[in-house]
Amino acid sequence: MRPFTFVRPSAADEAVRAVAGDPEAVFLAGGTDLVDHLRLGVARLALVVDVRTATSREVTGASNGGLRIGVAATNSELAADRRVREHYPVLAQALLSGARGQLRNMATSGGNPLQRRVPCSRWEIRHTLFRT
Amino acid sequence: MAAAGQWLVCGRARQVTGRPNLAHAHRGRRKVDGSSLRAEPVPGAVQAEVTLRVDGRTHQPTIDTRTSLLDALRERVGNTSPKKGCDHGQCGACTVLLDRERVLSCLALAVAHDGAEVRRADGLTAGEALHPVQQAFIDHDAVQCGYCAPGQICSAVGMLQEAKRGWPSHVTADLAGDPELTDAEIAERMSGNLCRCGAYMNIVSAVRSAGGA
Repeated sequence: MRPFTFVRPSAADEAVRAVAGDPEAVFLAGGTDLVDHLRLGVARLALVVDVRTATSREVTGASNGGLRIGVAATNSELAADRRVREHYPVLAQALLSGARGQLRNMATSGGNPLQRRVPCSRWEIRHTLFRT
Repeated sequence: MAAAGQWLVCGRARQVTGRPNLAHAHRGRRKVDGSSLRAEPVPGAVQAEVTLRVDGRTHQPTIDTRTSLLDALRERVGNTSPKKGCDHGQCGACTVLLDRERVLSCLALAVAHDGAEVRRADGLTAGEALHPVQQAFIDHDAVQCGYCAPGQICSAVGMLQEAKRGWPSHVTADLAGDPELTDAEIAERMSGNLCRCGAYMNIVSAVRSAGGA
């Protein structure tokens, strides 16, 4: 794993400024995907910006009747939210179908769409075994 | 098909001559007490000081930013209760309670959890008294080799809290209601912890008993 600098800004705009325009900088939240990719050498970064302090973990009611989901809300918290379970059961089911309890306690709503999934597991295995 | 005396390693046959030399397995074995493991920074490494409160004791190791919470606990804090199984978030052997929630310490960067409170399986005791989950694992013989047990126990403690809060699982039929801790619920909620001895039946019994206590 390549050495990297770690920062945890307290404001969202600071975090955005740190990552913007730097191809070797990345946002970190739960780390379930990123940490493994750093270890495998799939992700090679110089700056890791932890955004859990700079973002919200809350799930709140939105003015249009929907829900506003904080970036740092974990998959577990979101799936367990009563409003999600009652009004958006497909979302709760989807979250509960993915991974396991310990991972859902770490993985976040913001990190989920930012995952840089590798194209296929064969490629990942190749990387792991042969470091190509 | 590999001929006798050959191992198939990733599709390539490797000739094995004589008995494998296991001497290296014992070479470089170190005493794990924290103080003997002051890792020297490697060239180019970025170091950071982190504060970790582990089982009620504060530790402030200076670590490489790349260190996982698991490695920080095992190599720097000096307690090998959390186990390194796969180191990829698949086996659950490294499960600890991080700020009271069960997580995989192999996928957490130690530097990202500065100031966190960590509880490991062996830190669950209250003085001499075992935690109800620890006692249940003994009573129900939920351990064979024991390698996965610290992770299983931390996971069970976290999982019982989650169930108590009414958190649903993938097998909860009525998402809007409060889940009942059936054996199917226990098996699903504990599915992040692998046991290669296959002690699953007794683990389910132990968790069921600890959950009812």
